[in-house]
Amino acid sequence: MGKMAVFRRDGVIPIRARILISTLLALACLPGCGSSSGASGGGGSTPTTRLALVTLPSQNGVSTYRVSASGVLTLVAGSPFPAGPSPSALWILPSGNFAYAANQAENDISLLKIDNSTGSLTEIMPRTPVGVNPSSLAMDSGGNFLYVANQASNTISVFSASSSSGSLTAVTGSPFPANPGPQTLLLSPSGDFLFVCNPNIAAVSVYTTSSGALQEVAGSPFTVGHVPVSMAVDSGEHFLYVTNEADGTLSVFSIAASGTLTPISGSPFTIVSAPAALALNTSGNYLYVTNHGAANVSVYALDSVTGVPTQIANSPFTASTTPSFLVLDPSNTFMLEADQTAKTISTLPITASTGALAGIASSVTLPSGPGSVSLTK
Amino acid sequence: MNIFLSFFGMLEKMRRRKSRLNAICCTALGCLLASLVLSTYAPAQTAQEVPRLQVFGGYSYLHFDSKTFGFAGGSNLNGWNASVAWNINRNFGGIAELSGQYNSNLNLRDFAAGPQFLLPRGNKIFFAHVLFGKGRTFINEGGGVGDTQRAYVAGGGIDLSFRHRLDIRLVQADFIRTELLQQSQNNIRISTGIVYRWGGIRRTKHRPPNTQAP
Repeated sequence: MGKMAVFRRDGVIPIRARILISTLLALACLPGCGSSSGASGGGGSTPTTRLALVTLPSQNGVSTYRVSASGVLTLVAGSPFPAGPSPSALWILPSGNFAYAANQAENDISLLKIDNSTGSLTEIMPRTPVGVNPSSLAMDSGGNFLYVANQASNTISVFSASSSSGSLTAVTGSPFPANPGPQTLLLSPSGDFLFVCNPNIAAVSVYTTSSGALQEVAGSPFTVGHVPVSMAVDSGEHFLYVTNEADGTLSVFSIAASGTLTPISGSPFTIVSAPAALALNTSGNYLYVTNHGAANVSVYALDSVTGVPTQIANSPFTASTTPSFLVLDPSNTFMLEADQTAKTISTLPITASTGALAGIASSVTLPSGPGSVSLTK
Repeated sequence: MNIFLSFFGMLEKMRRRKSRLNAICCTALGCLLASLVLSTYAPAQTAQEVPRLQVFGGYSYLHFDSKTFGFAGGSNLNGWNASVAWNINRNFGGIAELSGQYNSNLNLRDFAAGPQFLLPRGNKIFFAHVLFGKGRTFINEGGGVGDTQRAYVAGGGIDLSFRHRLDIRLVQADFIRTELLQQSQNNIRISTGIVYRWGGIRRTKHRPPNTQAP
């Protein structure tokens, strides 16, 4: 038997060998003991990567992608997950355990439970009725109130949200009357002001919020360029940025303590063809604008005192054919840019020090045009 | 034998109920039982005779590379493994295996066959194999999605003589590569159980040279 001897020639297992074999067996079986708490969502694994949720209106579903630290997307098996009819806007609760999807074809809100381990979504019924053609969602950072723009009924529905179950309860007075055609919502970081794009009247409306109740501020609505479609506000709530798609301009307003908007000097600023979505990085010093008609993304450095945007060197940066939406990674490492025409989501790395984009690093193709893209925190 | 059968029966019941707590308890109990058996048994024979036919059945654990499916990490699956091996001589044979591992989110089943190399030593038989076949997964998320593609298995293990026709497979460790859902997965499987054997292949005896006296 030589050096490999475990058993004596008389066939009796020595004590040391018994211990060794028992230990090996235990080691072989130990992983199985943890099996039920692995990726099955039993609580044993802690997700270390984000999920990107992409609504697919024509599929009546939502696809999820696992997002690596560098922004590479991996489709979650089982996608797209069933949701309501024609889901468009989507909002993920701060806990990351639930998401709301606005179903434009059924005028209601779906509650989706997110399994962060597997990346799967499960709709929790019943759906919550809202006004006609819900087009945009917004929620405060605490996840207490959900705001829904009902574009065709000219109202804004407001619900209090349960952080544990995700269930929605309409606040007193909901739905609140809004100016014509409320299309896009943006809540200020403090949750004190709700900004609403009204493309039909080329204006932005501003509302104060008090326990979810809306009160339009004096002077609202405020005139912007033609077809305002997207907004961003800095973390200090000093400036509001609005893209005017039909004008190819960017309106910039200073925000008073009361919520009143005043255009800054030089606003609106001319940018490139058909600006669509825009987003601020977490530091608030760079503004990213997708140019729907020019297959690129413009990047602006922002003056923290005046709010004036200045295009950075080499901007605009090449993107997909018709960039529609964008989402910035909270760590400012990459941007996800969705293209409704090309049916793609592209990852564009960001140089943190300059805000510059490095072009499309990777891309995934969707089964149909996306309605929105959202990232878990 | 009865102890093992009841253990696997418990595992099967556990799988049906999808009870994670039961899975942990049963696996821990399995470890304990196996340890008890090993520490109390007396071997049937001291020199392992290589069997002609081996039929293996037992428990298997699989660490599935489910990150390629968008999961946050790998998945731990429990299930069964069964194989039939036909040995041509004391060192070489062929094997065909069938296994299935499951959890509440997904499963992996495979069928593979290929050559197996044996190394009998005392009461033990060391073995190694390289198998080729098919793997199938079903992911129980959303509407559910399944796929069947090629699978490659490479691994080995140790069998220990236990009774007249029974061996204990102390451990079998396999690397399983699958190519499911347009991705490649590198999976690890560990199995243990019992081996029923038939026939025997004895070592060829060397005749002493004739030393006829003049």
